Amino acid sequence: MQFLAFLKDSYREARSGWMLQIMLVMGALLVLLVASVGFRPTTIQDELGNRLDVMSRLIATNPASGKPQLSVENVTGTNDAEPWKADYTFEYVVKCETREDMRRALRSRGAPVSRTAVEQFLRGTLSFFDNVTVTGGPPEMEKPGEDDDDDPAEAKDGKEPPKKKAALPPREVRYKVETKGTKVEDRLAWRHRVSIFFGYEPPLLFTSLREGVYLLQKYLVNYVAAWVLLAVAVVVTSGFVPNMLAKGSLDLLASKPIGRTRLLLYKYVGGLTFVFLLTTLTVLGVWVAIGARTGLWSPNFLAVIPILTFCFAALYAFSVLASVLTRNTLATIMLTGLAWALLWCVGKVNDGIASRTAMLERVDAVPGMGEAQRAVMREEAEKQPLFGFIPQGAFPVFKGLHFVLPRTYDVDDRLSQVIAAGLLTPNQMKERGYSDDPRYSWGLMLGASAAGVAVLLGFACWRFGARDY
Amino acid sequence: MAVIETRDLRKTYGTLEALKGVSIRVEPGEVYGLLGQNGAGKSTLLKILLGIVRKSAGDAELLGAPAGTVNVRAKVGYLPEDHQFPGYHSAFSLMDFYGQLYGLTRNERRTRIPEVLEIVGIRDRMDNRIRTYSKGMKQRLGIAQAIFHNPEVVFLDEPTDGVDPVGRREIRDLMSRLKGEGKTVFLNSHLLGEVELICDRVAILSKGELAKQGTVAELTKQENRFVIGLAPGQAFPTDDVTKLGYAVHAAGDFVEVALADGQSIDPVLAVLSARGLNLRHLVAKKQSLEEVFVGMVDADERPRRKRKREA
Repeated sequence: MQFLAFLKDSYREARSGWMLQIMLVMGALLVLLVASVGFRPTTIQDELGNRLDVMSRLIATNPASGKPQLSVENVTGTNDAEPWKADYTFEYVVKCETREDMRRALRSRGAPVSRTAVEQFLRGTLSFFDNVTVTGGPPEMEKPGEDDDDDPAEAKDGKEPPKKKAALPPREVRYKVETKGTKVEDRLAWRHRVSIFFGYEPPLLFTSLREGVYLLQKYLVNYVAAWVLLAVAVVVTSGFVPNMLAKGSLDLLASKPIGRTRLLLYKYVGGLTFVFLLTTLTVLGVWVAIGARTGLWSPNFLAVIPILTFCFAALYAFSVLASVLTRNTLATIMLTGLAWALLWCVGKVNDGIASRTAMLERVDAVPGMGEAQRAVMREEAEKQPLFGFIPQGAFPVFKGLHFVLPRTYDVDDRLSQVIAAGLLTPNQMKERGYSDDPRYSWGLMLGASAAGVAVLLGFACWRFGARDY
Repeated sequence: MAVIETRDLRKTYGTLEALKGVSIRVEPGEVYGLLGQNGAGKSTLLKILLGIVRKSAGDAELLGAPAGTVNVRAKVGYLPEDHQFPGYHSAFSLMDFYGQLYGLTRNERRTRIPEVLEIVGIRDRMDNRIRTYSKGMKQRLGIAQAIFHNPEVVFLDEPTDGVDPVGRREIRDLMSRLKGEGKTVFLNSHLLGEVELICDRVAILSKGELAKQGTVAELTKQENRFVIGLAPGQAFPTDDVTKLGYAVHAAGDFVEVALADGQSIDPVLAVLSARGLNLRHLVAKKQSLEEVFVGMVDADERPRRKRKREA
């Protein structure tokens, strides 16, 4: 009953300062922002037409380019319901104002207008299609015409016979493009047109559905929103303990039948529960929004809830300790911010040290490399300060700090991997380096962090219990 | 069994000795007043009894158990001086919160809170935020939270601070009511008139030491001084009485006769009788608690002032 009383009290305290409302509004805005992002299966008309349109406008800024207008027309597919399984035919159209312009376009080589260039361009752009073939187009588009106006002196010399003037290409050229099959296995891998703010489609914003949702979850939610939520939560909860310890306030509570350790721990757990509930609401909202908009219901994303709460638990332990020592809200916010920066820096440096160690191990494993070469590489690597300014002599300090401090950096890094595993294919995981074995097990990360939190809280409780107020 | 008992209780803050071996004993059902100047150690004594401050040495017991333990605190109510209630609570929600800490059931809280707030006179405002309350209302709420869980002992630190005269009388009545219910009240107040009116026994702390302790009558009684009044128109025989070795001072319509050690008032009365004078008023002189307190403080301060002058 006492715990529930404190939980309710924390809720009242957060609500009274409008911080709870602010956090709820921020969470709702995040959900709304995510819900406003839409994904529409792209068509060749969308994907290529949009790209060619942008390209045409860019090329038109150069007067020497001939200002060709590139477009796609007469697109037909064999499977509209599952476009990733279809074969396609379409016309790649190049239009210029005059035949002279077309010749300039052909000679400037700025835009893909010759058949060969078109084929190269399409194979690069439509890389997810199999067997892209381009046919058609007049022969004069194959080889740029040579203009004797370019070098009149040479002609006047009479040393070489004047070349026959090439025929001008037509004003409009149509290539027939055929694709046979795609490299895409399913709808999730098919490219989608991304819209934001419920309908606005920024130009050139195409991605596979899987990739798009992954970027949304990882960057927008797990990076930006989670950091903002953590920062606001730190500020909101930083006043809980100092307010309790304020003169005239503590006497009222300390004279009640509750031990000081329990009093402080209830305050801690109260703040933690408050942030857990807010995180749960926000993340569930985002999850539902993404699922409803895309049909992708990756349960891995829900791991953000416990992980974010866990990271806050570590920060809040620092906050509680700072509160007990300083009894000042502003000092608590600043010290907690410093602790957060410290945790991040220690995690980052430790990650760098581990990566360097792994790199050296890979060097050792390279077959055919002599011992002398290995020694040189090792020496060179060891001479280089990490990130350009951290000398090797400081490594033990960072490793020691990493050992004793809560591992929020590692846990957050692993969360990115968990999110990726719920969305990406094995190949995509491999491309991002997520297929390697994790550096630390969950047990080690959470256990070491929980021990760090316990030490911080233990010290705070001891100080709170031993101090006269 | 004493409700409160301290034996040679000491508290030091660094080099400062806040309590220098204080021993007091409060019996069940007593209203006990603790007096002293600012910094005399009153709040420290009170906080040790409640476990808010740790003692340095000596013993302190509350309701037969070591003072400050969680179980004992469940039977104690406390109104701290300069208390600060969280402004985001209403009187009701605050009492509800504290009630949960005391382990009261939801029904008990729902019944008891309005009752107690009615007693202290703020029931009408119980759903308003505390930040909108006047100082007097906050003080009443403080008293309410100290008594609503039906404690055996109530510690009140300056309970009438910021309360208007009518409110003070109501608080005095409340303390009398608590006493009538068999509760023990430990009162810490600067308002000596109130203490004199309410308290059964009083202790005076001075610089961390117990200077005096006893009933109000005992403390205010003045040894070997009598106030004498005669019938209208009759003159007191000052010269004759002075010749007998008594010191006589005029005190308005009365005279004050001071007795030396071993002297009795009877020879004076015999002189009056022999002169045919009619005695209308004869009482052993008493002084107010304030006079006792101020006199004691002056006595404490005198050597210091003297040293200062000499320096």
